Amino acid sequence: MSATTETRHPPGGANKESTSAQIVGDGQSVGSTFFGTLKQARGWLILGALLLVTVLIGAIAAGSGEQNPLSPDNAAPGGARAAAEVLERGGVEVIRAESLEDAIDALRGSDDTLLLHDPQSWLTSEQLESLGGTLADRTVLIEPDLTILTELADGVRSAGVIPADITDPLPANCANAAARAAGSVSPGGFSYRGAVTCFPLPGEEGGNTAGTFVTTSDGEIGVLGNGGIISNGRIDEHGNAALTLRVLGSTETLVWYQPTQDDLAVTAGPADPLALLPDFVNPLMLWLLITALLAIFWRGRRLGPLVTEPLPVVVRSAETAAGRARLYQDAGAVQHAAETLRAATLTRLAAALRIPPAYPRATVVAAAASKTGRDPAELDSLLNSQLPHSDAQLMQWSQELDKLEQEIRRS
Amino acid sequence: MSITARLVVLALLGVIPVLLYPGAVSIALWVALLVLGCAVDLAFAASPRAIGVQRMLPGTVRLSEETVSTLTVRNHAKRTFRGWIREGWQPSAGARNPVHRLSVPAGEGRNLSVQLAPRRRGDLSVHHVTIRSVGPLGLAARQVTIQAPGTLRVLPPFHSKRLLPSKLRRLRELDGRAAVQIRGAGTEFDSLRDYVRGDDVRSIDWRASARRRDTVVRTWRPERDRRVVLVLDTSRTSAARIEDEPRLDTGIEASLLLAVLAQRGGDRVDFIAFDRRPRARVQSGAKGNLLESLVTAMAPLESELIEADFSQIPAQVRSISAHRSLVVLLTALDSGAVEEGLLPMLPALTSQHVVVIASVRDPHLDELRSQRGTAAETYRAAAAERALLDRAAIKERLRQLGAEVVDEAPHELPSKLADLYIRLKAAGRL
Repeated sequence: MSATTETRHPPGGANKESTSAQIVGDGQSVGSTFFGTLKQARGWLILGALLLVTVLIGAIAAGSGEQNPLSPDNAAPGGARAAAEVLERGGVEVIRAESLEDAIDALRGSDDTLLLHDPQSWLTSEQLESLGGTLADRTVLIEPDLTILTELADGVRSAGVIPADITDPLPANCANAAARAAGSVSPGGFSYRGAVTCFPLPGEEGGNTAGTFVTTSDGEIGVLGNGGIISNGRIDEHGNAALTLRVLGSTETLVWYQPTQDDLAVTAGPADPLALLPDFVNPLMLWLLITALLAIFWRGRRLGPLVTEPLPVVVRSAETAAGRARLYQDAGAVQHAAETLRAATLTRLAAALRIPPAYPRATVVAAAASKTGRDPAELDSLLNSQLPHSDAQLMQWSQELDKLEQEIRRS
Repeated sequence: MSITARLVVLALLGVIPVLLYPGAVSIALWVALLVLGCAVDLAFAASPRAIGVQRMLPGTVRLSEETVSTLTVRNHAKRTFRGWIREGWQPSAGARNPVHRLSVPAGEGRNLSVQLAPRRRGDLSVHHVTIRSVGPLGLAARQVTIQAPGTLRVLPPFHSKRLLPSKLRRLRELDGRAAVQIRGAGTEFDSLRDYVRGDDVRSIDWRASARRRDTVVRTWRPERDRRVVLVLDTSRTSAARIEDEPRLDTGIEASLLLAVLAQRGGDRVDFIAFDRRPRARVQSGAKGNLLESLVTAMAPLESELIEADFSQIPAQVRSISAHRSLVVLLTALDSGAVEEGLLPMLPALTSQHVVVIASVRDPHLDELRSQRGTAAETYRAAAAERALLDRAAIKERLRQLGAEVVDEAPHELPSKLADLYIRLKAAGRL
């Protein structure tokens, strides 16, 4: 045997250094890397393309026609593109007025008709007044409210909503040529009273009846109470088309004006705070966004892929004991726990008191009593007969066992 | 590709023209400037695919020691390489400086040293080297990751080495000591020496004393060339972590100390790691340093999540040694697993060999046992007592079956196991 006590553990001796072969490049080229990256990102690219196409289709569909009711560009059932197209084909110039100024400009010529449809009542009395007078040769008001009637159709009064239970077509019953040519129109909308009342409601015969189409005595201002008559959906019913074309197509020019919220009278409200910002703010924001994206790319690009760590299994050792403790507690196994504690304490006491395991408990109790000087009866009750019935008792009793054990250890 | 901080700063400088001439033109011009800069850099950067790397690794390192992985970088490109190189070590390799910034002129080479402080035993691997080559303007870079695999074997730390001198001293005290009262100083005749006061008179060799004038006593020494078979259990029970060390690692420490001690004691040591099949094996007949081959064999051992098949152990031991041996089983004494596997097998082993069962005791159970402050703690104490009682019962049964049991806390186990070996050797039971 060697005299040295040191081991011959060799970090150096057996530590063969290994040198790998020289590796140059990854066997790829710029192109293959590029296409490889594309291929990896194929799923995302396809998803992005799909999203883009969906957005584009949506935008095109939304932009192809407006959705406003009775708009001359709206091909939906609620629109009035059919009427406008037929009128244009018939030689009437249909001007779509975007604003009040547009409408007034378009009406400066001669031989023109104004169609005004303002269900939202955007225009004020002053603005309506500017449309009145002799500006238009003929004026057709679609479902006008009281303000419009007051300003543009003096003498025509509103007579309420036509009841929904009237489903039969309304016959002309008046002297107006257009109405007579139409014969009958679809019911619905509002009724009005005026100088010449056509398509009166049934049961309202007499001098002062309410009808769905009313004109002034000279016939230059017409009030159509039912916009549905000129809508794409119902223009082909009854005499709707005839009435529409005759009323709207009697002049060379038709100015189709549907006021929007842009026509709201400008008031002296608070100025837009964004308008107060200097010019460079928006470009600067855009530029900072670009810079931020660059910074993200700079920090986000990793120097090589992540390296994974094969982690070992970790099992906590006292897990089973903890699990068993929870089981005891959930099941309320007070006596079972007590028996275990008692057995363990007795075993340890016997070992500490040098009593072989085979001896009866009484021997251990007696030895413990003589060692600690406690009352043997008391110890016997603690170690043998006491049986806790609740968590609190178990706790107190187990602490007493522990105290006794420590006492015997110390002495 | 990637971009550098310089490009971001340059982009930030673009704020000035955008402020002075707000509008699309200044933005477009500055974007064009940035794109141009990047294009120039990408076009004139040294190709990272023309950089050769060669790694020099120490074959093994002991856990708790540090080592260096040397990477030789050669520039085969026509331009000077400037940029970063990163070695992709797995996190537990503890690479201190995996990223290096360097500049290599065309045709030259550089050595990079990556300091490694491994945090785990086993085979630690490096998969790739990433090269990022920055262009002349320093705005954009080309980046390539090349596969350059390497493995570093991290050996168990053998902390219990510090116990070895004291154990060896005790072993040597057995050697050459007079056969005094204790029957246990060995049974092999060693030599004769002069009687000194205190020697057992029964060991006086009268015949030799008659030849010489002085009283002569016989000395004895322990038997040599006994066989020690270490069986390390790598099954699921070895994964349990006790005092922040898996049972397996404690077992490795204990078997290393015992193996070295037994070898110095003149015995032949075999080692086998086993769960359902042998995971590692070191034979006594093998050439070279036993400790070295042991640590190399133990380094890659991992706990397997399967139940150990103890019924195969006798056959495995027989295949190693046909003679009476000291079989040391390093396993766990959890109730349940032991009754099923270890106990039925044990008689087959004890009938032929001296069996020692070494197991790690969990000191946490003792802590749980003495905490009785609340109801939950009391139940936990009861559960811990139950576990300890079960364990005591199992140990008793093992002893009845003729096995020696060492059941100690992790830091105690190697020392106690070595003590038991010395005691057995002194008693001549090997």
